[in-house]
Amino acid sequence: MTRKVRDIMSAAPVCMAATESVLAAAKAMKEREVGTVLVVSGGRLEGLVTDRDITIRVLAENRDPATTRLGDICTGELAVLRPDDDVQHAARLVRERAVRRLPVIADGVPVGMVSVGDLALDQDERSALSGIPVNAPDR
Amino acid sequence: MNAKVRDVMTPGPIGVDYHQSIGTAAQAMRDWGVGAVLVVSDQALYGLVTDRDLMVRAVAESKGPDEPVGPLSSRDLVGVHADDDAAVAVALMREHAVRRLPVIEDGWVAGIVSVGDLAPPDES
Repeated sequence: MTRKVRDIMSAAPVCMAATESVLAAAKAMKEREVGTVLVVSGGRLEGLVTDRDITIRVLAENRDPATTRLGDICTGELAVLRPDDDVQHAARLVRERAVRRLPVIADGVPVGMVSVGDLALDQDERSALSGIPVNAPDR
Repeated sequence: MNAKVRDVMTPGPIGVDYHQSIGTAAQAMRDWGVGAVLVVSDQALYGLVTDRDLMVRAVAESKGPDEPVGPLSSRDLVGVHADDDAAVAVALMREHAVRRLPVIEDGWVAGIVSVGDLAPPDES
């Protein structure tokens, strides 16, 4: 089974400029029901911000979401995937880097996201994760 | 999977009081490295609030960190008993489309079990 990253990724990731505010990202994550925003600068991927990052790095630090920029809080130096990478490669990266989400890049442009949930669903349809909506509100 | 819920749960759940601030709840999640805290009111379990709840219900709604966290919590929690098989927790999460269940023992909350506890990502 040599499934490719493009077969399991979520397409059309939410991308926002590094200069946009945390408030704008929070509204986008709520509206689009996603937990991650890819942060771009001049069309290139600069980093990633999750819903948890906003809680931990902004709310817990008493920073103002309206004036804090995504570029100030994003996680950089990301491991990335290509659409034609094997799924096994993605699983290895997730383990080695201890991350839950990996951006998928084609020709320098973000085209998708792969999450731990996507990988678990692919590896084991009977796992505890299958049947639980991956994009459901986290509660 | 014959493990019991108590074998896989995170014991000693972190709780905040209904009247404590949103910022305090966020700091508890940061300091304890957890994604959810229980909300307690009048010494009874009131609800549960996750890191995503704080982003969606506070930050996205322009609520400040000084407001009380209680009103942001999710109620009508589905609980599981510490002596139940882990498979029972899996079935409850599927049925109710939730990722975390408070674990009940002797009438009080003994821990939280999350979907990550039930399906370790390291499978191969």
